[in-house]
Amino acid sequence: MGSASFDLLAYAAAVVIVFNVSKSIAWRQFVLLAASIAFLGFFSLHPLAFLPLAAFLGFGFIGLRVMQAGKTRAFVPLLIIGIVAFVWLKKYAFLPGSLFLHHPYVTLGLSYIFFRVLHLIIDAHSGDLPKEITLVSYLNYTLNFTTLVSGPIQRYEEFAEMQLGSVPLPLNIIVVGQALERIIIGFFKVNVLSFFLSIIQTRALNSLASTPARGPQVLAGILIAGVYPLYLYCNFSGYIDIVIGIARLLRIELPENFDRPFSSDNFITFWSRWHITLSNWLKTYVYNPLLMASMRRWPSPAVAPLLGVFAFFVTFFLVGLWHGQTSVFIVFGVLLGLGMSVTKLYQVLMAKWIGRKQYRELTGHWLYNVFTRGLTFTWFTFSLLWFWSNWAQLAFLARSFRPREIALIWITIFLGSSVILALWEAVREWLLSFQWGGQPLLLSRYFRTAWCTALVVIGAATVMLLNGPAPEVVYKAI
Amino acid sequence: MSKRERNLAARSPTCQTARLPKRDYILLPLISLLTILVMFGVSEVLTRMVWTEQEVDPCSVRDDMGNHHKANCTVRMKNAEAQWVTYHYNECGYRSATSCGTKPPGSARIATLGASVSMGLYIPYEEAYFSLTSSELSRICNRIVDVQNVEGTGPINVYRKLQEVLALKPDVVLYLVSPFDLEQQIDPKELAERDNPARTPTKTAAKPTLSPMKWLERTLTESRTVLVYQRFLFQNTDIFLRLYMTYGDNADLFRQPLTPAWQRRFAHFDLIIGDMAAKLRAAGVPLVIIAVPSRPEAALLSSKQLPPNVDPFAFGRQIEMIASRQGAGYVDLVEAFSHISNSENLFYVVNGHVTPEGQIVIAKNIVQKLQDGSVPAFSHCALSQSAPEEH
Repeated sequence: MGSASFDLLAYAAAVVIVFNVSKSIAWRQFVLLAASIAFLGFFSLHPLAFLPLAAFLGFGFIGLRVMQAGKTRAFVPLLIIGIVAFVWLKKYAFLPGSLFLHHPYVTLGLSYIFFRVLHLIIDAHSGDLPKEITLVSYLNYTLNFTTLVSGPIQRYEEFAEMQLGSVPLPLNIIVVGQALERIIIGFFKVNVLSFFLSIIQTRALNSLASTPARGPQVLAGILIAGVYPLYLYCNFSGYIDIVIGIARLLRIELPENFDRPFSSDNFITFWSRWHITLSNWLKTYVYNPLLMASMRRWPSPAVAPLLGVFAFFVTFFLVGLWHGQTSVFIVFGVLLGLGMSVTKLYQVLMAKWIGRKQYRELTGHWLYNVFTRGLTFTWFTFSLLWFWSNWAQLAFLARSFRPREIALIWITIFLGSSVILALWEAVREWLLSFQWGGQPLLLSRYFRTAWCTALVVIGAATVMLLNGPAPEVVYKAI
Repeated sequence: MSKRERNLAARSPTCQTARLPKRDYILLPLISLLTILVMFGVSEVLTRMVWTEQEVDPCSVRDDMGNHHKANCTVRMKNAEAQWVTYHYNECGYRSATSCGTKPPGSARIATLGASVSMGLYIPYEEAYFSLTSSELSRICNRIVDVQNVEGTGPINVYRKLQEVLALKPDVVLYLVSPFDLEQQIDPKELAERDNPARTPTKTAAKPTLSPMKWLERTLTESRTVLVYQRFLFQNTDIFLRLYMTYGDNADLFRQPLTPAWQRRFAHFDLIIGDMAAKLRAAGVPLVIIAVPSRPEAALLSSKQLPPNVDPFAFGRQIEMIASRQGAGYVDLVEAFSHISNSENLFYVVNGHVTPEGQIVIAKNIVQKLQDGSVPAFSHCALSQSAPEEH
């Protein structure tokens, strides 16, 4: 089943219909669990392939129960076991290959199950969870098919409030319309926008190998690096839009995961608007505890800002590391960590050197924002080189350009993104300035209906053409 | 109201209280419908203005012998992907600049057979392979070489043109065959009655009964917007090949071993070529079969990673075996195209025909073949002479 395919939508539609047959908690629990297990079943026909995933889920449930039983001495060992088991099952490259399981097994969703399991164990340890978490509720929370593949990472309390409440979330025509709108926008982002952006990047990569001329090479370099973040955004946020829409039809409101991240004027703000639920999880379970522990260890107020810088580095280094199993992700983590920590250090030093008020004024200046937005985009784009390529591809890219061409590429990406993002912000503001019925015309129900219809037509045509047969030769004239 | 319910109400207040005005139950679907109509209308008008097409051919006639063209008829036509082309048919209804009458003393004559590729569909006369071949051979051989373009459609139809061809007294007959010429299975009854066209009445297209779904399908297929979108998508060879290879029967031509359906097609083709070669041999006219690749085949030829069990040379090999078995000459354009990088660019993306650039490759290889000594009329022409330049 494709991640944002007609198959997924058809499956979700069937689940939504069955789910809404009854509002009883037991029915909703049963249907969601059955749908999630059946969804997993699409990825392998061999029951044995699910054994490691089942074992990890079993470990999570036992850990949760142990914590709820108040056996606090088991807390640290449980966390260590959970992290080691995750690293082992995901086959991180720094572990010897001989240690890994060699039969094929399903790891789909393991990364997000890992976050949910750790959240349950940690919160159970601190007594922040409700006592009555049944196995079915636990499995529904960890395996919920709408959030299994790519999140978002929802907190258990929020999930349980909606899934286990005697009065489920309302599902009237407006809610259904809004949910369908999210699904349509997401479908378009994944199947049209991200598809075409990936074609542009692939073509640029192919042309790098075949074009000897320097000008087109540099242009290819700009496209290869500069298009990827847009592709990733459309692909990832599009999928999240789809699952948010589907979940809402299942009377579950999932947390938002993106909030116009490329409008961010610094890297810290960027990560509060990109993969928001991951950032929040790490803020809660890594950044805050690390900062608190450091401040207890070095209680001087003078070093507190520097401890924040350090905590940012560690947290986002781990974000990078979590994204993949090979050594390139170490560099990815270092770059993310550097982006966050240097931004924090810059904020601390600027406030100190020019004063808080002047710094605030500076950050409010439009021209400053134009360039900091471009810089944020450029740093993210640069970091992503270690996200989408391996060492061999990086070496190929490095060999393809002279040092001054590399400089030209990055300067162009910086200046280009500064201008384009500023224009985008201006156009968006201008479009939203047209009012109708006390609200922006673009947000009116009528405009959105027309807009979504257009997206459906283009999206459906694209998917149908890409899944139908290629054209045959036609003998129109004969 | 419980705390939870208050939370829920706070989370989505509009959803809790708002109601859709009654007029919106009519307005919103109407807006959707109107959007679709405007989108299709505007895009169709714009694409039809930019990618003009005029493929109604008043010169074309269909009868018991299949398709042919009216004598001394001229028509100007355009495919959406190609340029405007003037097609002139001589007194025999062949797309030839010269007369089909008795050939002038000292001149040589080539008769070409085949379907759309053979007649240079979508190609201006002077850029078509037969025109290039004619002028190049005339130059090299220092004598007039005239080409009579006797078109056909499928193999049976081509076979039935043989008497016409023999009446032209050609020095050689070239039969250009593409994979899509063989895709349609030959009706065994028609094959058995290939010498009696009157006994196999022309299949006239039945008036289609248009169900709504059929109408929609036809509208989309005929849509210029869809064509332009297809052209945009299928310029990407990876996408094009991925889709083509999921095609089933047509793509099975390139899968090894050949399916029974393709074995049957080649067996029927073998039978027809056998008869053609025998008749031509009796008349002392050499037959040369030319395997012209299709765009998917060319894309496979330039693909860096072929799908398992896929052999882009399979078509050429089969045709070569048939030609060799039946004592006909053979020009392997599949092999020739395989030496050109990204040779799929020598085809129109959607209509799939060979472009003017591809015509040069075809002409070059035909000229080379005709000088190898197997065709007496051209055996005196020096091999060292240059052929048309490939761009």
